[in-house]
Amino acid sequence: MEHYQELIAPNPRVAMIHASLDDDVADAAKWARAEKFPWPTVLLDEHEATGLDTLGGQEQVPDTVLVDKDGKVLTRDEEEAFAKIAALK
Amino acid sequence: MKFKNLLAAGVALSFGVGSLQARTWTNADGSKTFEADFKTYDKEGGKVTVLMGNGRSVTFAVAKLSEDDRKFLDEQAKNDPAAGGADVKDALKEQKIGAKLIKPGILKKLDGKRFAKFEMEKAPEYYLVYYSASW
Repeated sequence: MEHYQELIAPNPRVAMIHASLDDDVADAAKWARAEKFPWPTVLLDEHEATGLDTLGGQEQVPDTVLVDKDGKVLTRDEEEAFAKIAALK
Repeated sequence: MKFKNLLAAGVALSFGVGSLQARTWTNADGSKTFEADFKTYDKEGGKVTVLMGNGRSVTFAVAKLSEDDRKFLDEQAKNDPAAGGADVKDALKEQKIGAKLIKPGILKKLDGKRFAKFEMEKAPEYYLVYYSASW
């Protein structure tokens, strides 16, 4: 959350998207409320339509994937992802 | 889908709504209601898609709904892009990722206790996708 507020929210070059892996929308909403997610969510039944099911981010939970606007995966390593984002000005 | 079938589905599924605060929809003659969350509205095609309590989406003709419901949908359509939103939308349409995220009803954000429709406020070059679940 701290990284998001510091590096992503104020930066127009990057956005954070939550890809929910909950089958049930009520569970997804409950989880988002509990964690106070400030970022938007894509529900599981929309992963195929958005291509989020092809980024390899479901191999472990939780997981993060940094992609560019063309869908190219830049890294699946969270630390490396935030380092790349921090370098964006 | 016939309205009475939708009503039946709404009643059957309302037991699974839990903490979601669904909108109550009424049919054109005011004789039947059901509860579901608004998802998308295709004004040109005259179709509305709602989200039932179990997360299942149902699409039906707007003509089946009451005047109040149709007014609600028109308001939703009017409120679409805020000032400057059109530029962001145009930029997102050029992206492989963004073009999919701006499809109606794809992005959600918490509004109180439930998810509400959300639109991107920027057209970023990069997306950090965070996969997680409650389990």
